[in-house]
Amino acid sequence: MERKLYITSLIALGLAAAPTGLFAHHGSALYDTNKRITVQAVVTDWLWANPHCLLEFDVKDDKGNTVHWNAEVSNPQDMTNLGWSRKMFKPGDEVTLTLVPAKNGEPIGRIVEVILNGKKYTGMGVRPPAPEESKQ
Amino acid sequence: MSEPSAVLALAVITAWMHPFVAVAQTATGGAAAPPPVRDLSGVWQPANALDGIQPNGARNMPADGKHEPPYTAFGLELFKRNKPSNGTTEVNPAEENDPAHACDPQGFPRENLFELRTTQIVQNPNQTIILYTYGRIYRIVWTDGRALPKDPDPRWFGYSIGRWRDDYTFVVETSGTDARTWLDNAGRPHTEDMRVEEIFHRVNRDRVELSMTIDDPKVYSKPWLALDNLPMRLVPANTDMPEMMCSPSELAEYNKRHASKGQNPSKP
Repeated sequence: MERKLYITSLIALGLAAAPTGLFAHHGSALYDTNKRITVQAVVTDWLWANPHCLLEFDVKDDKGNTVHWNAEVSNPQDMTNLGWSRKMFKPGDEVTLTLVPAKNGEPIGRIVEVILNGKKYTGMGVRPPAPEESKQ
Repeated sequence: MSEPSAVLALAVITAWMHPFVAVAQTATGGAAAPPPVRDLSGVWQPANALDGIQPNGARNMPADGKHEPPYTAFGLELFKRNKPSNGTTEVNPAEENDPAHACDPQGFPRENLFELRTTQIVQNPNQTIILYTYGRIYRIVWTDGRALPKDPDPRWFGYSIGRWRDDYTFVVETSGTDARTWLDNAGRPHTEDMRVEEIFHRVNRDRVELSMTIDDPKVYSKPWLALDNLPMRLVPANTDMPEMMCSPSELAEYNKRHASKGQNPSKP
């Protein structure tokens, strides 16, 4: 899929390929884990459910056409721990999303980060720290 | 990694870990007290939250290209039949055959090797009962002196007996597990002949360390260590057990809305 969307930035972060997203029941095989895209979007639906919460949203491409996307994060328990909630989005909310896009170009992704009402929330898609990194 | 990228990565990791660190710091407080005698009762969480998730397989045998269980030829053949969506042999969701993704019980020992989260242990004179978050599953470990059943009908979570090796070390033996289950999230297989040994070592009042060894001679040429002293932290007794369920209808919705789209051929 050509990136004709209104993408504010497309960054191939030089990170090592993330073997999985955080906690993913479903691995990262669908995703181009070396890429991040950032989009301005309007929320259409927010599904708070297992195995992964899903955000549905619309994005304008560079011709002004609306492209419908959805993107996942982790399960409700993990997202609660990250400060997310069942009622945090409502249709019409304007958000800035940083996503790991799908390899096949379909408008789906994993949310690395979302900015909602000026507040930044961490999603998933980052490389989990190795056990030795997370020791306290 | 460049310095800015490293700083970014550290910031993201720190932000992610924050709620778990906060729990750890407020759960018990103060210096660790001595362990109670022959007592595991309480609510426990992996001391480092990520240690319990184990997305790429058993914590001490992750499918990362650096670790490989000692497969027999038969075991390797069984492993190749399993198509996980995580680990070095991960496949697209359309090709995977993880039974837990059909909402089958993930069974034992996978309950300890994937999504091990808040876990409550209750003891009475004849049983040690383990309550798990994932699937709201319980296991009963008999401590009334019985032996493991001979030639049992397999069960998702098998049959377990336990004994105190000393005042602070509880040993659990499990057999009779259902061979349809996977050992872990990387698709490691087993047969109905598998024996699993768990060792719960109560280090002090606030900490238990869990080790687990897999012994299945048909599949593995020697026993192997799946967990090596995984630290579990005592949290307040009034901690409410969370709920984390596999719901077939929610799974179908996820696949319909999201995963199925990722399986379409690439667009030009």
